[in-house]
Amino acid sequence: MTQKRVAELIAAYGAAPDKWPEAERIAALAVLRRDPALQAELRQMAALDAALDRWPSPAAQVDAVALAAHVSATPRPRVVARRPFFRFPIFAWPNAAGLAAAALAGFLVGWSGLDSDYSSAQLDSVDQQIVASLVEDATW
Amino acid sequence: MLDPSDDDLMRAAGAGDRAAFGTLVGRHLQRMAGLAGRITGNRGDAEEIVQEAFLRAWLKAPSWLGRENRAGGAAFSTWLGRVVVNLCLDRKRRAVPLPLEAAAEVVDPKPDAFAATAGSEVAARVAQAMATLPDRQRAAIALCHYEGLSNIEAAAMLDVTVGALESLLVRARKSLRAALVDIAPEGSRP
Repeated sequence: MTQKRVAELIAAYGAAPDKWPEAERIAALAVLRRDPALQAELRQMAALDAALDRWPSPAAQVDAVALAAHVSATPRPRVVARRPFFRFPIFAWPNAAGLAAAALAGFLVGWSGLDSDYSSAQLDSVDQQIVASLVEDATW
Repeated sequence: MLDPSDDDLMRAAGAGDRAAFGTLVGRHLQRMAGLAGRITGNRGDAEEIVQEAFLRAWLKAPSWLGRENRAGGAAFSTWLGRVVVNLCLDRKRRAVPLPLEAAAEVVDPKPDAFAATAGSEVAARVAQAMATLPDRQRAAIALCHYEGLSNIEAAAMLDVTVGALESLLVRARKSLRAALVDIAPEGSRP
């Protein structure tokens, strides 16, 4: 326990040691006993505490029996078992699996380049036709 | 025979036992009323808040698990205190300022609590100083100084850490000292 911590306790909880945190109280009092500066701080805070205690409580004047009777006459809303916000239909599983398989197959085809071979072969064929037609035009 | 715990009473109230709920109200009403009165500074608001808080307890009772049945669960008194504190802070936040045209009609700008209850100038000064504190600082003083709660209980009711609670208390006391310095006895003035 340090002098600084005792000063913090006084500043936060006031001058009454019974309002200080229980775990720190005994050690704080031991430090306080041998520190005149902290004792002066304690006296100042005690004056504030005394002033605060002169404010009478503006506590509500409520009759406990009447309040309990009134409140407990209030009907409680019926508790309805909660349904999940979205329930995934069981028959949708095969559809979802098929969609995923198709997507995977499409990805694999694109990634492996199978479709590019087909395209280049097709392009070669078109090229040959164009060249042939040009040759034909030139000879004509 | 041992008195039933708050958790027992809440479970019984949850099953529709109105007498158990009455016992629970009797056990906690005074402290909650005091707390609401200190934070709002207004007896009428405090009465409404206390009634609303116990209504919430009644509605909560069927689903109350209690501290021993859930990890980190709050004690009933802490839960109820938190409800009261939040209702007080919400009400303060929602307070609508008077329109300018109504300003001339205002006779006494002080909180009605001390106008009605204060018997001395000191009490009136304290009430006014408390009323000018920020809401959470006032709630911290109400919990720790006036209601005598431990720092752990007060922090739980304010839903802050103990360190944050101490910070609120230090700032509140600093403001109160500045506002009430002339009230302090000669020997204790800084």
